[in-house]
Amino acid sequence: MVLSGSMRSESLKGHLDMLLLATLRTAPAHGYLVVQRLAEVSGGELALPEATIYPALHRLERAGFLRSSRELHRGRPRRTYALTPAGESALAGKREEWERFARTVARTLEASG
Amino acid sequence: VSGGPIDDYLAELRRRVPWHARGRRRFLDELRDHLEEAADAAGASVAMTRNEAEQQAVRRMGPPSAAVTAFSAQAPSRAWVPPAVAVVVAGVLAGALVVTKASSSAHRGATRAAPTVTLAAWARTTIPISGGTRAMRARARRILDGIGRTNIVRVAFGRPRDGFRQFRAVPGPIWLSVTIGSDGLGLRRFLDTGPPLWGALVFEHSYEGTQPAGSPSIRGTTELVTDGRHTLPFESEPAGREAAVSSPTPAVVARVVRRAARASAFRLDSVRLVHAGAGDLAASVVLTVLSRRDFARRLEAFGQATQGLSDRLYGFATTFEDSCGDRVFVNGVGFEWANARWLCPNPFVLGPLTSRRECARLAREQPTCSAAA
Repeated sequence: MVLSGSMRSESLKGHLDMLLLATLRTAPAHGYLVVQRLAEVSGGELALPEATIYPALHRLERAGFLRSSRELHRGRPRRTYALTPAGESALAGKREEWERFARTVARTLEASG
Repeated sequence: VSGGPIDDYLAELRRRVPWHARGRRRFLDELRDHLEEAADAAGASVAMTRNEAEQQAVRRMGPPSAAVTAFSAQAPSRAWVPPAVAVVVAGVLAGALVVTKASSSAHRGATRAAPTVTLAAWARTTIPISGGTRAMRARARRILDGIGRTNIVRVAFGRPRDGFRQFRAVPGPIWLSVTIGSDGLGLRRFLDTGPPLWGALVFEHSYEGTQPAGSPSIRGTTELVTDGRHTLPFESEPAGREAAVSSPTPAVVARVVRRAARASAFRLDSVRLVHAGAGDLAASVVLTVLSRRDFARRLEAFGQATQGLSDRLYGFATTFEDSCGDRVFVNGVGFEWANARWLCPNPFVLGPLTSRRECARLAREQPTCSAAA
Protein backbone atom coordinates (compact mmCIF):
# COMPACT_ATOMS: atom_id res chain seq x y z
CA MET A 1 0.00 0.00 0.00
CA VAL A 2 3.02 2.29 -0.15
CA LEU A 3 2.33 4.24 -3.31
CA SER A 4 4.08 7.24 -4.76
CA GLY A 5 1.92 10.34 -4.98
CA SER A 6 -0.51 9.00 -2.44
CA MET A 7 -1.35 10.40 0.99
CA ARG A 8 1.71 10.46 3.18
CA SER A 9 1.74 8.05 6.06
CA GLU A 10 2.26 10.89 8.55
CA SER A 11 -1.05 12.38 7.44
CA LEU A 12 -2.77 9.10 8.01
CA LYS A 13 -1.48 8.27 11.44
CA GLY A 14 -4.02 10.41 13.23
CA HIS A 15 -6.84 8.74 11.36
CA LEU A 16 -5.60 5.19 11.28
CA ASP A 17 -7.92 4.04 14.07
CA MET A 18 -10.96 5.39 12.27
CA LEU A 19 -9.89 3.84 8.97
CA LEU A 20 -9.29 0.44 10.52
CA LEU A 21 -12.57 0.46 12.41
CA ALA A 22 -14.43 1.56 9.28
CA THR A 23 -12.78 -1.17 7.22
CA LEU A 24 -13.74 -3.83 9.73
CA ARG A 25 -17.29 -2.56 10.02
CA THR A 26 -18.28 -4.28 6.79
CA ALA A 27 -17.03 -7.70 7.85
CA PRO A 28 -14.35 -9.34 10.01
CA ALA A 29 -11.00 -9.67 8.28
CA HIS A 30 -7.40 -10.62 8.88
CA GLY A 31 -4.63 -8.05 8.55
CA TYR A 32 -3.78 -8.69 4.93
CA LEU A 33 -7.42 -8.39 3.93
CA VAL A 34 -7.74 -5.15 5.90
CA VAL A 35 -4.88 -3.71 3.86
CA GLN A 36 -6.47 -4.91 0.64
CA ARG A 37 -9.79 -3.33 1.51
CA LEU A 38 -8.18 -0.04 2.46
CA ALA A 39 -6.32 0.01 -0.84
CA GLU A 40 -9.46 -0.80 -2.80
CA VAL A 41 -11.81 1.69 -1.22
CA SER A 42 -9.23 4.48 -1.36
CA GLY A 43 -8.29 3.76 -4.94
CA GLY A 44 -4.71 3.29 -3.77
CA GLU A 45 -4.49 6.75 -2.22
CA LEU A 46 -3.78 5.63 1.33
CA ALA A 47 -0.04 5.22 1.86
CA LEU A 48 1.05 3.38 4.95
CA PRO A 49 3.77 0.83 5.59
CA GLU A 50 1.64 -2.29 5.86
CA ALA A 51 3.45 -3.58 8.93
CA THR A 52 2.26 -0.62 10.96
CA ILE A 53 -1.38 -1.66 10.94
CA TYR A 54 -0.76 -4.63 13.24
CA PRO A 55 0.28 -2.69 16.33
CA ALA A 56 -2.74 -0.48 15.69
CA LEU A 57 -5.03 -3.50 15.46
CA HIS A 58 -3.56 -4.88 18.68
CA ARG A 59 -4.08 -1.57 20.45
CA LEU A 60 -7.68 -1.32 19.26
CA GLU A 61 -8.26 -4.82 20.52
CA ARG A 62 -6.83 -3.99 23.92
CA ALA A 63 -9.09 -0.97 24.02
CA GLY A 64 -12.07 -3.26 23.48
CA PHE A 65 -12.95 -1.88 20.05
CA LEU A 66 -11.95 -5.05 18.24
CA ARG A 67 -11.83 -8.69 19.10
CA SER A 68 -9.76 -11.30 17.38
CA SER A 69 -9.56 -15.04 16.95
CA ARG A 70 -7.54 -17.55 15.03
CA GLU A 71 -9.52 -18.91 12.12
CA LEU A 72 -8.77 -20.88 9.03
CA HIS A 73 -8.64 -18.80 5.87
CA ARG A 74 -8.07 -20.77 2.66
CA GLY A 75 -6.63 -23.57 4.70
CA ARG A 76 -4.28 -21.34 6.65
CA PRO A 77 -4.64 -20.17 10.22
CA ARG A 78 -5.11 -16.42 10.37
CA ARG A 79 -5.90 -13.99 13.17
CA THR A 80 -9.17 -12.39 12.22
CA TYR A 81 -10.39 -9.09 13.64
CA ALA A 82 -13.97 -7.98 14.11
CA LEU A 83 -15.61 -4.83 15.39
CA THR A 84 -17.16 -4.99 18.86
CA PRO A 85 -20.18 -2.94 19.94
CA ALA A 86 -17.76 -0.59 21.70
CA GLY A 87 -15.87 -0.30 18.43
CA GLU A 88 -19.10 0.60 16.63
CA SER A 89 -19.70 3.41 19.09
CA ALA A 90 -16.12 4.60 18.83
CA LEU A 91 -16.34 4.62 15.05
CA ALA A 92 -19.55 6.63 15.15
CA GLY A 93 -17.88 9.17 17.41
CA LYS A 94 -14.79 9.42 15.24
CA ARG A 95 -16.87 9.73 12.11
CA GLU A 96 -18.87 12.58 13.61
CA GLU A 97 -15.67 14.26 14.73
CA TRP A 98 -14.14 13.87 11.29
CA GLU A 99 -17.18 15.25 9.50
CA ARG A 100 -17.27 18.28 11.78
CA PHE A 101 -13.56 18.83 11.20
CA ALA A 102 -13.90 18.43 7.42
CA ARG A 103 -16.84 20.87 7.30
CA THR A 104 -14.89 23.41 9.32
CA VAL A 105 -11.85 23.15 7.08
CA ALA A 106 -13.99 23.40 3.95
CA ARG A 107 -15.78 26.50 5.24
CA THR A 108 -12.46 28.09 6.18
CA LEU A 109 -10.96 27.42 2.77
CA GLU A 110 -14.06 28.70 1.01
CA ALA A 111 -14.03 31.87 3.07
CA SER A 112 -10.40 32.51 2.22
CA GLY A 113 -11.24 32.33 -1.46
CA VAL B 1 18.75 -18.36 8.71
CA SER B 2 18.56 -16.74 5.30
CA GLY B 3 15.75 -18.36 3.39
CA GLY B 4 14.70 -15.43 1.22
CA PRO B 5 13.50 -11.84 1.50
CA ILE B 6 10.67 -12.69 3.92
CA ASP B 7 12.95 -14.64 6.24
CA ASP B 8 15.55 -11.87 6.10
CA TYR B 9 12.96 -9.20 6.89
CA LEU B 10 11.59 -11.14 9.83
CA ALA B 11 15.08 -11.96 11.09
CA GLU B 12 15.83 -8.25 11.08
CA LEU B 13 12.68 -7.54 13.07
CA ARG B 14 13.53 -10.27 15.55
CA ARG B 15 16.83 -8.59 16.17
CA ARG B 16 15.20 -5.21 16.69
CA VAL B 17 12.07 -6.03 18.65
CA PRO B 18 13.03 -6.80 22.26
CA TRP B 19 12.51 -10.46 23.01
CA HIS B 20 10.65 -9.65 26.21
CA ALA B 21 8.22 -7.22 24.59
CA ARG B 22 4.66 -8.27 25.15
CA GLY B 23 2.92 -9.36 21.98
CA ARG B 24 6.20 -9.80 20.11
CA ARG B 25 5.48 -13.30 18.97
CA ARG B 26 1.97 -12.52 17.80
CA PHE B 27 3.22 -9.46 15.92
CA LEU B 28 5.92 -11.45 14.13
CA ASP B 29 3.56 -14.31 13.37
CA GLU B 30 1.02 -11.99 11.83
CA LEU B 31 3.65 -10.28 9.74
CA ARG B 32 4.83 -13.64 8.46
CA ASP B 33 1.28 -14.66 7.56
CA HIS B 34 0.76 -11.32 5.83
CA LEU B 35 4.01 -11.52 3.88
CA GLU B 36 3.41 -15.07 2.74
CA GLU B 37 -0.11 -14.29 1.59
CA ALA B 38 1.06 -11.15 -0.21
CA ALA B 39 3.88 -13.06 -1.91
CA ASP B 40 1.51 -15.84 -2.93
CA ALA B 41 -0.93 -13.30 -4.38
CA ALA B 42 1.81 -11.46 -6.26
CA GLY B 43 3.26 -14.67 -7.61
CA ALA B 44 -0.12 -15.92 -8.72
CA SER B 45 -1.24 -12.77 -10.53
CA VAL B 46 1.97 -11.76 -12.30
CA ALA B 47 4.73 -13.80 -13.87
CA MET B 48 7.16 -13.45 -11.01
CA THR B 49 9.68 -15.71 -9.36
CA ARG B 50 9.07 -16.57 -5.73
CA ASN B 51 12.00 -14.40 -4.75
CA GLU B 52 10.63 -11.40 -6.66
CA ALA B 53 7.19 -11.91 -5.16
CA GLU B 54 8.68 -11.97 -1.67
CA GLN B 55 10.71 -8.84 -2.39
CA GLN B 56 7.57 -7.01 -3.45
CA ALA B 57 5.69 -8.16 -0.36
CA VAL B 58 8.54 -6.98 1.87
CA ARG B 59 8.71 -3.59 0.10
CA ARG B 60 5.04 -3.00 0.78
CA MET B 61 5.57 -3.74 4.45
CA GLY B 62 7.80 -0.69 4.67
CA PRO B 63 11.22 -0.52 6.31
CA PRO B 64 11.80 -2.63 9.43
CA SER B 65 12.35 0.57 11.38
CA ALA B 66 8.77 1.66 10.67
CA ALA B 67 7.42 -1.64 11.94
CA VAL B 68 9.58 -1.52 15.06
CA THR B 69 8.62 2.09 15.79
CA ALA B 70 4.93 1.32 15.40
CA PHE B 71 5.22 -1.76 17.57
CA SER B 72 7.22 -0.02 20.29
CA ALA B 73 4.88 2.95 20.38
CA GLN B 74 1.78 0.86 20.86
CA ALA B 75 2.94 -2.24 22.70
CA PRO B 76 1.69 -2.44 26.27
CA SER B 77 4.10 -2.64 29.13
CA ARG B 78 5.31 -6.07 30.12
CA ALA B 79 3.06 -8.06 32.36
CA TRP B 80 5.91 -10.00 33.85
CA VAL B 81 9.49 -9.04 34.47
CA PRO B 82 12.04 -11.84 34.45
CA PRO B 83 14.14 -11.96 37.58
CA ALA B 84 17.53 -10.32 37.40
CA VAL B 85 19.06 -13.02 39.52
CA ALA B 86 19.49 -16.40 37.95
CA VAL B 87 17.40 -19.08 39.58
CA VAL B 88 19.17 -22.16 40.80
CA VAL B 89 17.49 -25.06 39.10
CA ALA B 90 17.31 -28.20 41.09
CA GLY B 91 16.81 -31.17 38.87
CA VAL B 92 17.55 -29.72 35.47
CA LEU B 93 15.68 -31.52 32.75
CA ALA B 94 17.93 -34.09 31.18
CA GLY B 95 15.43 -35.90 29.01
CA ALA B 96 13.14 -34.72 26.30
CA LEU B 97 10.08 -34.64 28.50
CA VAL B 98 9.42 -34.17 32.16
CA VAL B 99 6.04 -34.22 33.78
CA THR B 100 5.52 -32.54 37.10
CA LYS B 101 2.27 -33.71 38.61
CA ALA B 102 1.08 -31.60 41.45
CA SER B 103 -2.16 -33.45 41.94
CA SER B 104 -4.26 -35.95 40.13
CA SER B 105 -7.93 -36.78 39.98
CA ALA B 106 -8.91 -40.28 40.87
CA HIS B 107 -10.85 -40.83 37.65
CA ARG B 108 -7.74 -40.45 35.52
CA GLY B 109 -6.58 -43.94 36.09
CA ALA B 110 -8.59 -45.80 33.49
CA THR B 111 -6.94 -45.63 30.09
CA ARG B 112 -7.96 -48.13 27.46
CA ALA B 113 -5.28 -49.84 25.41
CA ALA B 114 -4.70 -47.93 22.21
CA PRO B 115 -5.39 -49.65 18.90
CA THR B 116 -2.77 -48.14 16.65
CA VAL B 117 -2.15 -47.61 12.99
CA THR B 118 1.37 -46.75 12.00
CA LEU B 119 2.11 -44.93 8.76
CA ALA B 120 5.36 -43.69 7.32
CA ALA B 121 5.68 -41.33 4.40
CA TRP B 122 9.23 -40.10 4.65
CA ALA B 123 10.29 -42.05 1.61
CA ARG B 124 8.20 -43.26 -1.28
CA THR B 125 7.82 -46.75 0.02
CA THR B 126 4.67 -48.71 0.63
CA ILE B 127 3.36 -47.59 3.94
CA PRO B 128 2.10 -50.33 6.19
CA ILE B 129 -1.27 -49.50 7.69
CA SER B 130 -2.78 -51.56 10.42
CA GLY B 131 -5.32 -51.20 13.18
CA GLY B 132 -8.43 -49.03 13.14
CA THR B 133 -11.37 -49.92 10.93
CA ARG B 134 -11.30 -50.85 7.26
CA ALA B 135 -12.79 -47.47 6.36
CA MET B 136 -10.14 -45.67 8.39
CA ARG B 137 -7.35 -47.58 6.72
CA ALA B 138 -8.76 -46.91 3.26
CA ARG B 139 -9.20 -43.25 4.05
CA ALA B 140 -5.70 -43.01 5.49
CA ARG B 141 -4.31 -44.65 2.36
CA ARG B 142 -6.08 -42.18 0.09
CA ILE B 143 -4.86 -39.25 2.16
CA LEU B 144 -1.27 -40.43 2.21
CA ASP B 145 -1.31 -41.21 -1.48
CA GLY B 146 -2.52 -37.68 -2.12
CA ILE B 147 0.07 -36.00 0.04
CA GLY B 148 3.05 -37.21 -1.96
CA ARG B 149 6.43 -36.77 -0.38
CA THR B 150 5.99 -35.36 3.07
CA ASN B 151 7.94 -35.12 6.23
CA ILE B 152 5.47 -37.15 8.23
CA VAL B 153 7.44 -40.01 9.68
CA ARG B 154 4.81 -41.64 11.83
CA VAL B 155 1.07 -41.49 12.34
CA ALA B 156 -0.56 -43.47 15.09
CA PHE B 157 -4.27 -43.93 15.71
CA GLY B 158 -5.60 -44.92 19.06
CA ARG B 159 -7.43 -43.75 22.12
CA PRO B 160 -6.55 -40.24 23.21
CA ARG B 161 -4.44 -39.76 26.27
CA ASP B 162 -6.22 -39.58 29.55
CA GLY B 163 -5.88 -35.82 29.65
CA PHE B 164 -8.04 -35.42 26.55
CA ARG B 165 -11.22 -36.34 28.32
CA GLN B 166 -13.48 -34.34 26.06
CA PHE B 167 -12.44 -36.42 23.08
CA ARG B 168 -12.55 -39.69 24.95
CA ALA B 169 -16.33 -39.40 25.06
CA VAL B 170 -16.45 -40.03 21.30
CA PRO B 171 -16.73 -43.74 20.46
CA GLY B 172 -14.14 -45.44 18.30
CA PRO B 173 -10.43 -45.00 17.84
CA ILE B 174 -10.35 -41.26 17.44
CA TRP B 175 -6.84 -40.42 18.47
CA LEU B 176 -4.26 -39.62 15.84
CA SER B 177 -0.68 -38.87 16.71
CA VAL B 178 1.59 -37.46 14.03
CA THR B 179 5.35 -37.33 14.27
CA ILE B 180 7.05 -34.96 11.87
CA GLY B 181 10.65 -34.98 10.73
CA SER B 182 12.05 -31.90 9.07
CA ASP B 183 15.21 -30.16 8.01
CA GLY B 184 13.62 -27.05 9.44
CA LEU B 185 12.82 -25.23 6.22
CA GLY B 186 9.83 -27.16 5.05
CA LEU B 187 7.96 -27.52 8.30
CA ARG B 188 6.05 -24.28 8.18
CA ARG B 189 5.03 -24.92 4.60
CA PHE B 190 4.04 -28.42 5.56
CA LEU B 191 1.81 -27.17 8.35
CA ASP B 192 0.27 -24.64 5.99
CA THR B 193 -0.38 -27.22 3.32
CA GLY B 194 -4.01 -27.41 4.23
CA PRO B 195 -6.47 -29.90 2.81
CA PRO B 196 -4.39 -33.08 2.57
CA LEU B 197 -3.31 -33.04 6.19
CA TRP B 198 -6.50 -31.60 7.59
CA GLY B 199 -8.35 -34.26 5.64
CA ALA B 200 -7.15 -36.73 8.21
CA LEU B 201 -9.56 -35.08 10.58
CA VAL B 202 -12.47 -36.53 8.66
CA PHE B 203 -12.30 -39.41 11.05
CA GLU B 204 -10.57 -37.63 13.86
CA HIS B 205 -11.46 -35.08 16.47
CA SER B 206 -7.94 -34.31 17.44
CA TYR B 207 -4.37 -34.96 16.61
CA GLU B 208 -1.15 -34.11 18.23
CA GLY B 209 2.18 -33.98 16.51
CA THR B 210 5.09 -34.56 18.78
CA GLN B 211 8.70 -33.80 18.40
CA PRO B 212 10.88 -36.86 18.00
CA ALA B 213 12.78 -37.20 21.25
CA GLY B 214 16.34 -36.01 20.91
CA SER B 215 15.85 -34.48 17.49
CA PRO B 216 17.30 -30.98 17.25
CA SER B 217 15.64 -30.22 13.93
CA ILE B 218 12.17 -29.44 15.19
CA ARG B 219 11.24 -27.39 18.17
CA GLY B 220 8.06 -27.35 20.13
CA THR B 221 4.93 -29.36 19.72
CA THR B 222 2.13 -29.21 17.25
CA GLU B 223 -1.45 -29.80 18.22
CA LEU B 224 -4.81 -29.30 16.60
CA VAL B 225 -8.17 -28.78 18.11
CA THR B 226 -11.33 -28.87 16.10
CA ASP B 227 -15.02 -28.59 16.78
CA GLY B 228 -15.74 -30.45 13.57
CA ARG B 229 -15.89 -27.34 11.42
CA HIS B 230 -13.02 -25.17 12.57
CA THR B 231 -9.55 -26.57 13.00
CA LEU B 232 -6.76 -24.54 14.44
CA PRO B 233 -3.14 -25.56 14.88
CA PHE B 234 -0.80 -25.14 17.78
CA GLU B 235 2.02 -23.53 15.85
CA SER B 236 5.51 -24.75 15.45
CA GLU B 237 8.47 -23.24 13.72
CA PRO B 238 11.68 -24.56 12.24
CA ALA B 239 14.73 -24.46 14.42
CA GLY B 240 16.86 -21.36 14.44
CA ARG B 241 14.10 -18.85 13.73
CA GLU B 242 14.25 -17.27 17.16
CA ALA B 243 17.70 -18.15 18.30
CA ALA B 244 18.07 -14.79 20.03
CA VAL B 245 15.22 -15.49 22.43
CA SER B 246 16.35 -17.05 25.66
CA SER B 247 13.98 -19.46 27.33
CA PRO B 248 13.09 -19.15 30.98
CA THR B 249 14.32 -21.91 33.22
CA PRO B 250 11.92 -24.72 34.23
CA ALA B 251 11.91 -23.36 37.75
CA VAL B 252 10.82 -19.92 36.53
CA VAL B 253 8.07 -21.46 34.41
CA ALA B 254 6.75 -23.42 37.36
CA ARG B 255 6.87 -20.42 39.68
CA VAL B 256 5.11 -18.01 37.33
CA VAL B 257 2.40 -20.52 36.50
CA ARG B 258 1.91 -21.37 40.18
CA ARG B 259 1.53 -17.72 41.12
CA ALA B 260 -0.82 -16.99 38.23
CA ALA B 261 -2.97 -19.99 39.16
CA ARG B 262 -3.15 -18.92 42.79
CA ALA B 263 -3.99 -15.32 41.92
CA SER B 264 -6.74 -16.43 39.52
CA ALA B 265 -8.13 -19.05 41.93
CA PHE B 266 -7.43 -22.04 39.69
CA ARG B 267 -5.96 -25.27 40.97
CA LEU B 268 -2.72 -26.13 39.24
CA ASP B 269 -2.68 -29.81 38.31
CA SER B 270 0.38 -30.19 36.17
CA VAL B 271 3.12 -28.36 34.32
CA ARG B 272 4.58 -30.38 31.50
CA LEU B 273 7.81 -29.08 30.09
CA VAL B 274 9.17 -30.04 26.71
CA HIS B 275 12.80 -29.41 25.88
CA ALA B 276 12.63 -28.54 22.22
CA GLY B 277 16.35 -28.39 21.63
CA ALA B 278 18.85 -25.54 21.51
CA GLY B 279 17.77 -24.24 24.91
CA ASP B 280 14.14 -23.83 23.89
CA LEU B 281 11.38 -24.76 26.22
CA ALA B 282 7.67 -25.32 25.66
CA ALA B 283 5.16 -25.79 28.45
CA SER B 284 1.75 -27.40 28.68
CA VAL B 285 -0.23 -26.58 31.80
CA VAL B 286 -3.36 -28.24 33.16
CA LEU B 287 -5.53 -26.45 35.71
CA THR B 288 -8.81 -27.24 37.42
CA VAL B 289 -11.62 -24.72 37.62
CA LEU B 290 -13.27 -25.28 40.97
CA SER B 291 -15.82 -22.49 40.74
CA ARG B 292 -17.83 -20.84 37.98
CA ARG B 293 -17.70 -17.49 39.70
CA ASP B 294 -16.13 -14.78 37.49
CA PHE B 295 -14.71 -17.50 35.28
CA ALA B 296 -14.12 -15.33 32.21
CA ARG B 297 -12.48 -12.60 34.25
CA ARG B 298 -10.23 -15.07 36.07
CA LEU B 299 -9.34 -16.71 32.79
CA GLU B 300 -8.26 -13.38 31.40
CA ALA B 301 -6.32 -12.60 34.57
CA PHE B 302 -4.44 -15.87 34.25
CA GLY B 303 -3.64 -15.09 30.63
CA GLN B 304 -2.32 -11.67 31.52
CA ALA B 305 -0.26 -12.99 34.41
CA THR B 306 1.42 -15.54 32.14
CA GLN B 307 1.70 -13.39 29.00
CA GLY B 308 5.32 -12.45 29.63
CA LEU B 309 6.22 -16.06 30.23
CA SER B 310 4.31 -17.19 27.17
CA ASP B 311 6.22 -14.76 24.96
CA ARG B 312 9.51 -16.25 26.09
CA LEU B 313 8.52 -19.87 25.67
CA TYR B 314 8.61 -21.72 22.41
CA GLY B 315 5.07 -22.85 23.06
CA PHE B 316 2.65 -22.38 25.94
CA ALA B 317 -0.58 -24.36 26.07
CA THR B 318 -3.09 -24.22 28.90
CA THR B 319 -5.93 -26.62 29.55
CA PHE B 320 -8.62 -25.83 32.08
CA GLU B 321 -10.76 -28.70 33.32
CA ASP B 322 -13.73 -28.86 35.62
CA SER B 323 -13.78 -30.95 38.77
CA CYS B 324 -14.93 -33.95 36.73
CA GLY B 325 -11.94 -33.69 34.44
CA ASP B 326 -13.95 -32.45 31.45
CA ARG B 327 -12.34 -29.76 29.40
CA VAL B 328 -13.53 -26.24 30.00
CA PHE B 329 -11.07 -24.10 28.06
CA VAL B 330 -8.01 -24.87 25.97
CA ASN B 331 -5.55 -22.29 24.82
CA GLY B 332 -2.48 -22.90 22.68
CA VAL B 333 -0.32 -20.65 20.59
CA GLY B 334 -2.58 -20.87 17.62
CA PHE B 335 -5.91 -22.00 18.91
CA GLU B 336 -8.52 -21.56 21.58
CA TRP B 337 -11.36 -23.85 22.44
CA ALA B 338 -14.06 -23.27 25.03
CA ASN B 339 -16.68 -25.56 26.49
CA ALA B 340 -19.97 -23.94 25.55
CA ARG B 341 -21.42 -24.74 28.95
CA TRP B 342 -18.83 -22.54 30.57
CA LEU B 343 -17.98 -19.80 28.15
CA CYS B 344 -20.56 -19.10 25.52
CA PRO B 345 -20.92 -16.61 23.98
CA ASN B 346 -17.16 -16.60 24.20
CA PRO B 347 -15.73 -13.09 24.61
CA PHE B 348 -12.32 -14.20 23.37
CA VAL B 349 -13.08 -15.74 19.99
CA LEU B 350 -15.22 -15.22 16.92
CA GLY B 351 -17.13 -17.80 15.01
CA PRO B 352 -19.91 -20.10 16.12
CA LEU B 353 -19.38 -19.44 19.80
CA THR B 354 -20.63 -15.88 19.46
CA SER B 355 -24.18 -16.95 18.65
CA ARG B 356 -26.46 -17.68 21.60
CA ARG B 357 -28.43 -20.17 19.55
CA GLU B 358 -25.26 -21.96 18.55
CA CYS B 359 -24.08 -21.79 22.15
CA ALA B 360 -27.20 -23.60 23.31
CA ARG B 361 -26.71 -26.28 20.68
CA LEU B 362 -23.03 -26.72 21.47
CA ALA B 363 -23.69 -26.79 25.20
CA ARG B 364 -26.00 -29.77 24.75
CA GLU B 365 -23.11 -31.68 23.18
CA GLN B 366 -20.81 -31.19 26.12
CA PRO B 367 -20.38 -33.82 28.85
CA THR B 368 -23.13 -33.69 31.43
CA CYS B 369 -20.70 -33.52 34.32
CA SER B 370 -19.84 -29.99 33.26
CA ALA B 371 -23.49 -29.02 33.58
CA ALA B 372 -23.57 -30.10 37.18
CA ALA B 373 -20.34 -28.29 38.08
